[in-house]
Amino acid sequence: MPSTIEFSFSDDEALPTIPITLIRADLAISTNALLDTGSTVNLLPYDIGLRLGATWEEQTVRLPLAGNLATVEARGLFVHVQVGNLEPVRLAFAWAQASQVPLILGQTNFFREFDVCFQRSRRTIEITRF
Amino acid sequence: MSLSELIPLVNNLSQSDKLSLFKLLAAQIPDAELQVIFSASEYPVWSPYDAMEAANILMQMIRDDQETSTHA
Repeated sequence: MPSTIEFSFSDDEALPTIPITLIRADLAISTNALLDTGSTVNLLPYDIGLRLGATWEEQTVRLPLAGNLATVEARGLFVHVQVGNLEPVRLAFAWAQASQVPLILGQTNFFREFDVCFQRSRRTIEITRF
Repeated sequence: MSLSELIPLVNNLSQSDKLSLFKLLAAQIPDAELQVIFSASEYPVWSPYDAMEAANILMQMIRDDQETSTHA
């Protein structure tokens, strides 16, 4: 049974960000994430991974990033993501060894788990878990 | 006419007139100064839009994880 939740664009110029809660083991962080349909992967900044209790050396899946992220090392990390009051979903992130990168929800695998409808004219973002 | 008087007039120009004005002004500025102006407008784009290999590896990680969960 699909569940849907609606968010507002904060203003006309705003990029589509939504509030989410990242959960790993017994640690949780509430933050904003960018919905980036052009990103091939979910991207997690280094400092957030550390605050979620992850240890860099223990993550063995190495991920080659591209573009101006090509020089940044990244490793695979599973994190539960809760959107609004929807059930938390376990997502795979490219955990970048850099903290200046944005927290991105991308094609693999946020957009494989959720339908997202951007309605700029109504200033809403609709997210459905299917 | 001062710059502060000119700016509202420029704002009211059509897009094509603004482009013509821009070309006129650019022709009067030395190349070196133009380069400084445009290099200052470069912004980093952090979106990993073409990291296909990373996406494939992540998908394999997800499949392995699902198989482990199934067999557990």
